[in-house]
Amino acid sequence: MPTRGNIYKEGNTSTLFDLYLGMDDEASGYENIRIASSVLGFKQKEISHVVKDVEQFTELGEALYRPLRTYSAGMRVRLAFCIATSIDTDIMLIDEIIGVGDNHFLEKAKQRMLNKVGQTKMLFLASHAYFVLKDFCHKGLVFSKGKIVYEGNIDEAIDYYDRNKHVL
Amino acid sequence: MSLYSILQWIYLGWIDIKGRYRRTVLGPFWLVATTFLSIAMMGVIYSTIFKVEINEFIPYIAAGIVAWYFISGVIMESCNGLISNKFLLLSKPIPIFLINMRILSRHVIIFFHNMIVLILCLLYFGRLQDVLIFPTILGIIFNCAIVIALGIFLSLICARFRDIVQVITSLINILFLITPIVWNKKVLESRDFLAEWNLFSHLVDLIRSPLLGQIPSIESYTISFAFFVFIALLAYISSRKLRNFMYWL
Repeated sequence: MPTRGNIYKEGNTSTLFDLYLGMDDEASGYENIRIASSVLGFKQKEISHVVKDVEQFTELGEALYRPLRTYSAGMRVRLAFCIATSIDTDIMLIDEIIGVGDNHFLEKAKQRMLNKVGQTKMLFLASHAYFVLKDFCHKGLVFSKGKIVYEGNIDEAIDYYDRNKHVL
Repeated sequence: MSLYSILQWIYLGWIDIKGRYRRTVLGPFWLVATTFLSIAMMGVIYSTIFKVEINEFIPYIAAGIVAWYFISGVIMESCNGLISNKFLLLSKPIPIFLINMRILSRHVIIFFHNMIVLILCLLYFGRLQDVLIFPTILGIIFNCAIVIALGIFLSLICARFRDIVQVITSLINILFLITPIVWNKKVLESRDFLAEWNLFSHLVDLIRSPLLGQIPSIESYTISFAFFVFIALLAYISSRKLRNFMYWL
């Protein structure tokens, strides 16, 4: 088990590694916005911005009054994605989970990220879903056993991965 | 780490309590009911065993148990503090102090719920006017400081060495029995050093005595303060040494 390592980064980061964000299944959508915002350390002013943003972006409407346990996986990803991307940061790290969303959501999420280019300076997305990767990224890194084995534009990286996936 | 972020995590502790009792009929009064039952049953049985006056004994047990539930509750939960927040900690660096603040705030809320039982009990036995408010608050603050320092230390060490979680769980059960909570240290007679040397009997006493109308001994204050300094130092050292605890989550 690795017990050592270093992180070098310039700028502040936000992450979306899981859909959990400390949220409570029994609490309503609105309450969970507050919970997640507290966990992520948003300031009071920012929280009211996040609430408005969620209302607009997620199209959850009335569902925001219902407990989180009544949400489908797609609804959860919309909520979590929106909260996590609501406050602008320099670097955004996202894991696999974004693929849970439906096509409509993915299109909106892509638009949102594109609009944020300029504010968010870097989006880092880990996924095996090619269509998601092609949608969001223009550069690709292929990893094997924790090391970068290929670096190039996204189409070439996917190509490389496809050709070598039996040995990676 | 700002005052605002501390308030946010206190709020999260409140949310936890709310979440735990959602969709139950009695809600947090389940806690009150549990405390009430344990005080009533232990009070009757132990006062019979030790052949002491029940009017004296039940308020004693009640104040002791409420204090003990608070102290032991924070300690037990702190063991899993970092482990159960794994997902949060992996996606965002959060000061350990805040995680422990959330646990503490949860137990302070539970403590005040349990106070209802205690107040009713003191009222019933006509002891309510004896309560020394200022020393009680001082006792609570002392205990908060100690359990938060102990919590930071334990949450770190338990994340790294998982066996410690089991050790603490068994120790807490033993401590409940060997600390004068459901028995008075007077019954030890010439062997009362067994209680004097037990740190936790002093910690419990800081809350219990003023609730029963006595000022805790200076000894209890000094010992508790010395313990706090020691544990705070330990917490500081462990947070330096185990800076990479994330790898062990």
